[in-house]
Amino acid sequence: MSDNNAPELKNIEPTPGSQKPDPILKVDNVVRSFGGLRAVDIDHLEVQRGIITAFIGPNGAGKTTLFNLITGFDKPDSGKWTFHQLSKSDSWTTDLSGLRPHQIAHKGMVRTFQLTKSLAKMTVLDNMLLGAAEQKGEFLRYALIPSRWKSQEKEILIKAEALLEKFNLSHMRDEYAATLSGGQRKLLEMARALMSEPKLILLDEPMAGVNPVLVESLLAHIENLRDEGVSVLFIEHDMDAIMGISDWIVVLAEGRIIAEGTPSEVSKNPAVIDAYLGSSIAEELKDV
Amino acid sequence: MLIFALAAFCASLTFPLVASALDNEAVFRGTVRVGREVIPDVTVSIVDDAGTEVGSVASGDDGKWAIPIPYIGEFTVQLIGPLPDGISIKEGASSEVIVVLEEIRTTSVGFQLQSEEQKTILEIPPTWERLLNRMVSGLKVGLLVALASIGLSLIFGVTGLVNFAHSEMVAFGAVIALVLESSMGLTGGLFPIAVVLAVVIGGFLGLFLEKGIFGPLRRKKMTNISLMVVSIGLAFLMRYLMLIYHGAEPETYESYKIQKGISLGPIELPPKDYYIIAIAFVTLVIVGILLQRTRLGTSMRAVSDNPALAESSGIDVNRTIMWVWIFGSALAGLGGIMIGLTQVVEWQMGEKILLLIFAAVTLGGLGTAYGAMVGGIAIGLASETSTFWLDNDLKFLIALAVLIVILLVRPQGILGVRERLG
Amino acid sequence: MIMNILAGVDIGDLLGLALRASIGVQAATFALAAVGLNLHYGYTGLLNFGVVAFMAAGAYGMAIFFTQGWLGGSLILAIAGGLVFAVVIALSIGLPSLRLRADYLAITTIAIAEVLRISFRSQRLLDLTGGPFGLPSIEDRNAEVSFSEIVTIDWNPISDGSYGFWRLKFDEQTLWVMILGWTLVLLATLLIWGLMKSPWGRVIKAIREDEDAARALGKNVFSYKLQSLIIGGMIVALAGITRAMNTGFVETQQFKPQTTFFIWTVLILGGAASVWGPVIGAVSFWFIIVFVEELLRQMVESGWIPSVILESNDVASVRMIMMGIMLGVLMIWRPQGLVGKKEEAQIDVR
Repeated sequence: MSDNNAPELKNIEPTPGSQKPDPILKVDNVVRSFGGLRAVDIDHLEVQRGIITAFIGPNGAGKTTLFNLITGFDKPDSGKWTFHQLSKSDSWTTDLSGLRPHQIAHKGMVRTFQLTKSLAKMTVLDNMLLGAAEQKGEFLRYALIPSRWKSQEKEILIKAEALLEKFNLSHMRDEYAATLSGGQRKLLEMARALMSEPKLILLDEPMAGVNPVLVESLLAHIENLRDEGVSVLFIEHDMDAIMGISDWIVVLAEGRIIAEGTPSEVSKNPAVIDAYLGSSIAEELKDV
Repeated sequence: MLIFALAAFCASLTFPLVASALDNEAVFRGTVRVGREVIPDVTVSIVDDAGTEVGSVASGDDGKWAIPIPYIGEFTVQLIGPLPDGISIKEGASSEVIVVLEEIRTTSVGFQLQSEEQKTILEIPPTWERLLNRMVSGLKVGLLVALASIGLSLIFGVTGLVNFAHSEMVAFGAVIALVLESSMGLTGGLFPIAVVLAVVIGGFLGLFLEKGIFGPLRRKKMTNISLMVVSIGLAFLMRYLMLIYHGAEPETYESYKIQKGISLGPIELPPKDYYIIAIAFVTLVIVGILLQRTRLGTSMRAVSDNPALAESSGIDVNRTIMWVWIFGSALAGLGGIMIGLTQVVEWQMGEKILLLIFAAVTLGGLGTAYGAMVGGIAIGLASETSTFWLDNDLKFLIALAVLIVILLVRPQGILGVRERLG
Repeated sequence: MIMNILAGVDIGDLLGLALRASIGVQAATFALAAVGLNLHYGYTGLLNFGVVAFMAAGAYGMAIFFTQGWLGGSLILAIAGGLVFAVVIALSIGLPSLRLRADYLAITTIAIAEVLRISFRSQRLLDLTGGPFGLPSIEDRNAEVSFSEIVTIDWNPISDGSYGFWRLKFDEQTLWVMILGWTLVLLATLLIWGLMKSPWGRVIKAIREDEDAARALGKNVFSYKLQSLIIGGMIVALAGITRAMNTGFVETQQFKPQTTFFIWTVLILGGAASVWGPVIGAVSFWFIIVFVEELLRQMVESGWIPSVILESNDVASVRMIMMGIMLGVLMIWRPQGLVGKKEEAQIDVR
């Protein structure tokens, strides 16, 4: 468990909805109901830039729903959320509420899915090439004029191969994604998401269904992302993993944030232990 | 010669009725029209030289009519009517044409009509009586469409399959009843026996389709889209088998053929229409009761709503599916027979009614039997009543427009439930 | 016994007729339409059951522009007009219904195609579309200037005469239309091939497989589907125009749903999502259909098939039955068709 990777977090209030010194994402008053049930009800949430933030909570807490809402795959009943970006000279805020999913992805916020969406009938390499954000050849008007996109394709190819190398998938590059193992597919999805050089990456249960042997390397990759400047948001149930790599944890239950804090703060929080009451996770928390 | 053959192939692609009974059946046919305008719903009747009626039929939406002639001799073809206002037989011409038939062949018969108006669009002065009659006609059509649609809706509900061959079950029922009637002489008072037999046979066909084709394919994990395409192939197979073995000519049942209209207040209908409305209505009510009160009915509704939940409650899903196919097909057959009674029985019945049934089912809600009933009646009423204002040949447009709009705006229809999100 | 049957049957005739049909204008028209449908369904995964709507848009569009004398009565511009009409139809279908799941999209597309057909057939549009009688109107049909004759005679560089050998002899008009038709097929196939090899094609394939994945990667799925609908639609419209040039007229009977399903059968037989599938499908389909039809016709005429089972008039219906059976058999046992890839074959409801 490492609290000291992100020193700037030392002074943050470990309360739900607390402000962060340099937020990359701010969520306000987002509500989503199904029938009479409030699946998500967030008053305020800020995600700090450049760290690994974990969303945890019992099943049905609304974590994936929240992911779907902020990435545009679902529409909330109300609320707004904004994306805060920095460049060398400038900073600007984009209102993401109401944007469609591809627009949000284009802004630099890319997500993966709980049930991996590796495009099984395409090769690993094609999957990667698809992830690139700036290929002119994807536009109809240039598609039939190879000279317009051939050189870009070469650049994208180099980038893709480098990423595949990093994720140890190079040897599978010409295989159909369907032939990959569950864990390899997770890696592919992650690698693919990185092709567009996102600012914020949202991983929905990256460890689910992955061979324990691969979990270590997956975690290493996630930490690597943060070290390279990408902000990471992920949902997980595996407590070891969460406690191991997270810089900050947000705990949800029944659609609301019930706690925030560093891993050690959260594991001692009685409200959190209550929420998991009766599950094996409560025991795991006590051991932490 | 070969070029002619190639041209003939081109032509035969565009005219599926090439295999019409040109040379081995005697038929009188024609188109009721004034200049270029066709006139639908005009009754043409043929009597032989002894005054016995050989057949009578109303012209279709395209003005065409055809009546099979069972023997050679001298016949009088009569234009009975009703002709719309402003249209009448030409001066000096007759509403009766005498034709001598000496051999088995097709004869075209035309009537000379004239129009008092110069406009290209026929205008029929609206009266509330006409409107009321149209609405009653719409109710009748709607009830029959409802009967035909229940099966389609429930099959979708319990298996997720959009069964394009369902409309052919309608045609099948009508055709089988006709065959039974003529081959076993079940006319007049005995006709209901033919009806019952035909409905039972229709049910068996549904059973056969489920047990022999769709059930096994579902268990082979074929996707519903692929099965839908299979059902389209099946529909063509059934339709054209009926064309080959039943023939191209529209026919009517022997029984209840010629009936004078009986007036019930401002409504005038032949007695068989009143019976049809009553029987269809009662059948729907019985179906409703069966769905609510019997165990089988309840399992049908349960499986249609949520197959996984139904199975875990101990319902035998496969048996339920089997019964859905049997009843759905039987009801469709019944609907077909009654449509045949009020209109004609022909190989193309299924094709003509397919989109109406789809419209009814989507309007009412795919997957619910009550939805099919509500949707059927609504569509029937809407399309028939619309002829009051719209041209007759545009009647289907209303149903199609409803279908499209519902799919775009509220795909679950009136009574359907919105799909659970992924 | 088989030898006896074979003796009564003229194999030369059978093969000859079948070959003629498989390379003829009909086959070319269907191949062209299948190329368009291949983009819609094979590559993009759109269940377009309203293919004839696009054919009608092209054919009727061209015919209306021409017979009404719009745009100066030029045939080339009329053809362009037909293509524009096809784009309009694509937008009218696509804008509202591309969000629908596959089976609902299928029903919607059939319904829209029928709305178009019934509207064209209507008496009210008699002056524009010829109503139930089609275009050119009966009086004009024998006039000197018909769109078909401009193409088959005026634009025909081949001198009069009969060309070919054995049973594959064609007159200069038919030969010319065949050349035009198959050239269009080749061009369309090359177009699709080029598109699918490009990054644009990559996005399309991704969309077919998983729209949400494509969206999460920043691709505007709706826009791509619309583009596919428009391009494929224009190709299908060209097929409609080609047929009109061949038959010499347009009529609503030509645009019934059964034609859509013929084209589907052609595509699936050849192999959806493959570059040459549409062509191979069209050629094979016509060969098989005509061969079997002629075989049956001869067997009926020579008495080998008793009239109880089949009569000579019924043989044309056999074509439809074969189509129905082929469709079912292919979907069940060989959804990838002749040259398609097995992995690309089945599509789920999304």
